[in-house]
Amino acid sequence: MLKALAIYPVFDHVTEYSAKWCKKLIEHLKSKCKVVEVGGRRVKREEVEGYIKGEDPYIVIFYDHGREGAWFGSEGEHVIDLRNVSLLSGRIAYSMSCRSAKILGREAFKKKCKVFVGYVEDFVFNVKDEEIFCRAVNYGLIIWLEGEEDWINVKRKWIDYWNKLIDEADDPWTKMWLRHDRDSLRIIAEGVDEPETKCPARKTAVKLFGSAGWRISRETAVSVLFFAVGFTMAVLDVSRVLGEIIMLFSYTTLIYEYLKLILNR
Amino acid sequence: MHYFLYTHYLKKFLCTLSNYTYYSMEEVERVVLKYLMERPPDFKWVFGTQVFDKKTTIERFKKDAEFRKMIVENVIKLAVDLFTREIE
Repeated sequence: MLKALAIYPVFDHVTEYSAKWCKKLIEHLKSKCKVVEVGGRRVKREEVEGYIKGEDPYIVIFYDHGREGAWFGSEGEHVIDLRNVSLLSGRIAYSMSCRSAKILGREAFKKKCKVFVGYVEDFVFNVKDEEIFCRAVNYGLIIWLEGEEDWINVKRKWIDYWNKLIDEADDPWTKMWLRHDRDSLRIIAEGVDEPETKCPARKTAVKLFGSAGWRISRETAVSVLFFAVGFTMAVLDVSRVLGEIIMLFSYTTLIYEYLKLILNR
Repeated sequence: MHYFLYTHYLKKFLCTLSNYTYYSMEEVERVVLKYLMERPPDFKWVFGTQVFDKKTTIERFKKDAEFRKMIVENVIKLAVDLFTREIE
């Protein structure tokens, strides 16, 4: 049976709404998977780390405030940020927090997070119609659990659902912010909203190796390049000794990078 | 001479465009303000971590140009979205 960890800290007026929405999502989830709940109060970073390591959930749900590189457990504490984002590797991260898809989502994806659902802008809602916003944010995971495994289709159906809600809403203020939230939704997964890069080397790596190209560090790429240069110099007898030194240096760096990767896991 | 005419007409065109944009924005702003004024006293909405009620929204809308611009942009984006989906 699938296991999910639902994190919904409460520490201000806004988080009361996000917690309420998360509880509604949990009601849906309970028939399909085992749900471990942490929330309704301030949540500490160690708690979340402990639950992820101990329970090993396939889905990590986070309903609370966020920013570009972090999810908040309380006013000043990040429960997940760039230092512990590798905890999301191999999992589905489903969040409604503001802006976290911008940097945290991209980094999570680089660290082998299967799917990161989040928003690139501030999440906005009209309190009078919070029920509509609740339905909108929860829908993605619900259709995935109902058997739509392809996240490309999930995104398509989800956007259609946002549009339906926009059309059905009576209040223009609600329509306006539903449109805003719909457009800032990102599903960072293979073939859906994969992160963009301006770096030509990264683009080549992604073309050659697919999503694994995102996980090749700059140090590794430079080491491989130097190894090739050293090898060519040694084989072509340009400068055998210098070539061998470059090869040895880059080989050592590669081993270091590999050990770093293993230790991070 | 050609260069002079080119820049002259370009400037003229840009001025017309900015005037046009200015008047359109003013129109949208007026409509939004009217909408906000007509909201019930318990009107409340959440923007990220901030909670706005009727009074604070109207105040910010009148005084804060950035805020006003953001709202107007979203009104226009909604209009474009509704129009685009209608013709598709």
